[in-house]
Amino acid sequence: MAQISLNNINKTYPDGTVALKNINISINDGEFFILVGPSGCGKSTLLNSIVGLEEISDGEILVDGKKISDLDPKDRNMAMVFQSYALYPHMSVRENIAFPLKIAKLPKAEINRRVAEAADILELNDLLERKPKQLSGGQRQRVAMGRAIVRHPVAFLLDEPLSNLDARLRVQMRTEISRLQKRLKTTTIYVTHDQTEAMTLGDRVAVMEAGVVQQVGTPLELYQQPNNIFVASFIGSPAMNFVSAQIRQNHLLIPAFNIDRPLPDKTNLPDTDDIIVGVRPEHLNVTPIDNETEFITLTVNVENVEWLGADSVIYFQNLDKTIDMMAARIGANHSIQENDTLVLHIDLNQLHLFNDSTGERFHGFRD
Amino acid sequence: MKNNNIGKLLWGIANVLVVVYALIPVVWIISLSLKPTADLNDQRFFPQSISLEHYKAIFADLQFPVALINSLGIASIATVLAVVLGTFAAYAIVRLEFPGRRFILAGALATAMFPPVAIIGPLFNMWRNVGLFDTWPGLIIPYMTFSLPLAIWILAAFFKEIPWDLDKAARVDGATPFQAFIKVIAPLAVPGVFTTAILVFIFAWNDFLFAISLTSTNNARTVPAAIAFFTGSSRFDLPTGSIAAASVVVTVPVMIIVLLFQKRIVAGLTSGAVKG
Repeated sequence: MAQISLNNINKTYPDGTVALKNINISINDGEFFILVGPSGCGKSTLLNSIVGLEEISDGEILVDGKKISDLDPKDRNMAMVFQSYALYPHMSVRENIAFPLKIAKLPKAEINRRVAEAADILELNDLLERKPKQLSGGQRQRVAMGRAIVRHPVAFLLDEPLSNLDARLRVQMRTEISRLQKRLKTTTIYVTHDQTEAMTLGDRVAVMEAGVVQQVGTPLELYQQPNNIFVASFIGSPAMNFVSAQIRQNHLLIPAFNIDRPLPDKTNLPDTDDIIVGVRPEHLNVTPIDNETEFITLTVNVENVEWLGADSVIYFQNLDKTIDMMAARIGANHSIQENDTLVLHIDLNQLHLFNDSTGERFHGFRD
Repeated sequence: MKNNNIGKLLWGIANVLVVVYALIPVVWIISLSLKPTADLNDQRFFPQSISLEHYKAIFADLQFPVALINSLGIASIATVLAVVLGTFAAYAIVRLEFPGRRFILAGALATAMFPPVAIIGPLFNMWRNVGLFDTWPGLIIPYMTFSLPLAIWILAAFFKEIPWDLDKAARVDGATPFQAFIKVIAPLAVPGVFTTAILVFIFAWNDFLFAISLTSTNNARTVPAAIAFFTGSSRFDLPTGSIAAASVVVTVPVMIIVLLFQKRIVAGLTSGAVKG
């Protein structure tokens, strides 16, 4: 149980590569906190810095107000689950789980009690005498979790724990990890590159890119109010569509679709060409939602239809085919085919405006 | 199906040929060692009658048993030292970032290429001056030194195969770097350690050059050197039978050791550590 503060964390490698830049995050006690980003964004480096496997160049890490950034990893009392699980192959499951307790020189009875407790929680009772190589991927994952929870650490750190599992097992283990965390109420920091994991597991999520935290917020905040184009395109699947636009006398102009749409009076944006409009595929509709809603319409040419069962994704371009392919997620009951011409409706309130040159969200439109 | 059988047959023949080719000298030596002295030049492959007189002869003379003890002691101590030093050096080279570690690895290989015969003269003079000539340490030191490069290279290759995540996991689990090495990494390197130990032991056990040059009495003379000093029962008698018997006595234990530890040398102990 612990509140973790990361204050002005910087990490620069000797060759000058900046791995982490001005990271300021405060993680609440018992929170399930996610670090998400593409590979190479520094999320694993940050996790390793928190646990002490990598040194930070600057800044401090506090646990419940106490500075731990100078401590050796063994003295930080954090438990980590590695992407590779890192089970000790020469030890049985029982010995693997007991290892941190043995190192801590706990009495034998206490070790046995705690191992039994962890095995109960993770349903490992029948596997205790097996060696890691006799276990399936999901079982190894659970043993790794067992080794983490047995110590009652101040925090769990998980580094892409599900990426070695097949798709079905991944969903199952995701639920298990979520349940386990809710049950133990231990502060958890979870690194992933998968935005679905981030959205489903996290109480709060930090999106990272190039060593910089782009946005910290609840999954809903990230989805509804992305700070910049990177966050907007990273969160959500299929990714958000972007098209360049202009503002003229409080009118929104999207040349590619011949749109010239007056904006609500309260918006009052300055004239600019430096603007990008973003809209999520699920906010494009074949039929207008109702007559009350203000919407814009796009006339498009369908390039490809992917039927997914519950719904389908349509890939389209404008009629002149001058823009990149865009995606719309619509219901499954339709007879849309390739090369059809289609009219799509977008609720004006579902548009996101970004500054093209900085990538930042354009404030003053919806918020 | 038919092709498969022919393939198996050809492989079988090839295997038999290789085994026969490798074992003929061994069988020949054993055969010689068992022939009575009178039959030594009978030009038959198998002995007509079996006699243990040569074995009795070599153990009757004190020279051979003492040489056997010297060989065993010197080779074992040299092996332990080379393996212990090699293990630490290889682990450091594989896991620690320090300037010049590539240079150390390349340097180790370079020294291994040095022909021992080139240093034997200077070594002889040095050892006589410092009093190491004809002593156990006088042989242990060169054996250890000349087998260290090999030990470091083999062990470094084994350590590279052990996932680094295991070190990290042990560190996070509360272990000091030394505990992580002793409790997690070293047990996993056991096959590599055995491989290295056997190779170093065989090198020290079989060496003739250092043994003949750096010893002069039974104090430290090892078996290969001692065999060179064997004499026949008379001036006109070649010691062929005794040499064959002594060769069998020193070869067979090594073969048995290798066969026994073969199982331990098999890699694959690390499977299951990470996704596999």
